[in-house]
Amino acid sequence: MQMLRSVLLVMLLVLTACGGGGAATSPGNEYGTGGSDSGATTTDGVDRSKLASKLYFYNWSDYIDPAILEQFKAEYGVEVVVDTYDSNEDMLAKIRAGNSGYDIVVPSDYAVQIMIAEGLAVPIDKSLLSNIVHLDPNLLDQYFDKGNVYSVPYMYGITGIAYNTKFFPNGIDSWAAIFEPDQIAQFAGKFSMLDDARETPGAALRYIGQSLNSTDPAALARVKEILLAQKPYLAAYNSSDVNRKLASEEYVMAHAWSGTAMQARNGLGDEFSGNPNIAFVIPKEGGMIWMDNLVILKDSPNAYTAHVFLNFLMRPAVSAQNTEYIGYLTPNKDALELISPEVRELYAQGFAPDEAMYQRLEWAVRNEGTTAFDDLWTEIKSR
Amino acid sequence: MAMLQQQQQRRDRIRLMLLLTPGLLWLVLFFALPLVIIVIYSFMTNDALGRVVYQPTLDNYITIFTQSLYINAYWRSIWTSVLTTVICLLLGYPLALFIARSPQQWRMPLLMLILIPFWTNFLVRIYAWQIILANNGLLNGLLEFIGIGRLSLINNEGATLIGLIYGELPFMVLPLYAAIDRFDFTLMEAAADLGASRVQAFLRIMLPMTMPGVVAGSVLVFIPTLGQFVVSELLGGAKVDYLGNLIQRLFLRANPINWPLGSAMAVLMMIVLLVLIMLYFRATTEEER
Repeated sequence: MQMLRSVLLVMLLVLTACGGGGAATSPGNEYGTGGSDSGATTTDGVDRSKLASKLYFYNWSDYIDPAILEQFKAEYGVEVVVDTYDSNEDMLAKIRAGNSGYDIVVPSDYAVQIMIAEGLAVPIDKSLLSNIVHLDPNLLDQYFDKGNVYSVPYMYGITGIAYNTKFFPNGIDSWAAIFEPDQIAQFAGKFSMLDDARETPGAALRYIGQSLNSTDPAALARVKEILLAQKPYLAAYNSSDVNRKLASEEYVMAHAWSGTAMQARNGLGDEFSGNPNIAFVIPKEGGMIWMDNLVILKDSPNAYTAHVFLNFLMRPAVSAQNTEYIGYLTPNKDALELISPEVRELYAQGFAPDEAMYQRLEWAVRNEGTTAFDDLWTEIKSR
Repeated sequence: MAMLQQQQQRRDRIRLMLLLTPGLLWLVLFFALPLVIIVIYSFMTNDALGRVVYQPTLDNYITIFTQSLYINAYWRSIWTSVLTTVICLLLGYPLALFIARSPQQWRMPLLMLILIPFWTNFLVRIYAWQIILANNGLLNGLLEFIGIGRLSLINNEGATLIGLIYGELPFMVLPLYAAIDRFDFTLMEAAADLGASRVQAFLRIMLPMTMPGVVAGSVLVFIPTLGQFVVSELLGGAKVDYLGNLIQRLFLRANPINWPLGSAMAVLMMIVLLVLIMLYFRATTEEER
């Protein structure tokens, strides 16, 4: 019995130690010189002798078509190892610590600014990026990286309401549908808002006719009222698996990114199948536009290979395939015509902005004053 | 002779030191040092990019004590942890007693049943609870089938509590089992012979003698529950902040991130834990006397 007891105790201790750990995959630091020549000629200007054998890509979850990585490997013999994160801050925390082992990361607009300010990014050598000509000039040269010295656009998206037409046969055109208690009471526990200190208050600010960057105390007080009135009916603040929950009709609507809505509509590879009833709208009061960008890390040992990968991602055909898979919008203007008619039809229905919709979209900026949003968010969550 | 003995003692001491060094080094490097850093951070401030600025201040502690929302998070977490611990104890004691009183050949399989869930990652098991409790989930399907109709089971504090109790119950049962297994049940017969009722015998003989198991189980359950943040996010809908959520957000998600304030909250959490556990130990050992 004594024996049994000690065995149990040891098991208990080991299990306790294991319990907390997630699936931490450390990328390690394989430099690997002299990549294998896959037989392709060097007409594309890529010096294959300078390629590393592996590239470490730290990306958002569900944010690249795995087939593209296969294609890159077939063409250049470089294996791209992907690790994923769910918020810019998670990524920044890991990169800041140094020696992350990653080569490329995908910060959103404001996070690019932070990475540049902290010296975490390396300037991009545009002579290696021949495909940059395919990018839409309207999406280059943004406030967070003037002249695109450190970053190139990867994908962009818009934030509005994704909903199931089965429950909203007349559609949705206003934020009132997700904020007004008399309209949401019937859907109590069946809709979500993004778990984000900027997105959710931002949506409420647009609803009351303000800029989503407004930190005017009176406006924020009103936003707080709106969000607290909404909260009893809310299923969750959720930014992670909204796509699956919309597709399975666990939610009837959600404050969501356009790509999330697209994934709920069309499914995501072989991970889950889509729901044809899902629609997406930027309400008439307006919504947010944002962009994720490719940045090469300062301590990347494989900068050359990283440039080759970036250039590969900017090929119109590759970008079109990628954007169809993940559902977000490509900044690659020459990719648009290569996208399937079905997806382009969805774009026309609101999954992508047209000229008129652009007028209602707004970028979120971060400055000293916007810490007010965090205080507001903490208050919302404290009751 | 005395010199030889002295030499022997010195040699023993050196050997002991050598044996202790790796463990001590580990503790200093990965426990004491990080703790010191957290304490130091808690008296600093941050800049617009979220970096720690080395400028001593008490602001973080003042913020916590003057703004009700921070205090609320402490109360909510403490209350939930107490509730989780008490319910685990009420569920775990009979369970441990049942296992300890089972025929010898059944005990090991029964204990294995308690341990088997650990073979799956905790996060995965909490996702399984999402599937069970969801609006279109298993339990609601069953409820509808038997004519009760669908209920709102997930995304509330009750669901959080269920997840916590589910996750922590084994940590209560195992130490309780170890204590009850050691208990000599003939003492209960003796108490009955001397005229004690079953309740009296339990309260005055068995409970005090298995108290070490109760204390160990309670502490094992209470500590992780106080700092949890995953369960309230996945089953509670991330709608209210527990201490763990708040600290996690301050460290990782806030714009800018605020390690100093997060550190101050963590330091206070440790102090709260220490005080509560000391009070608990004092109360339970007095009962034993």
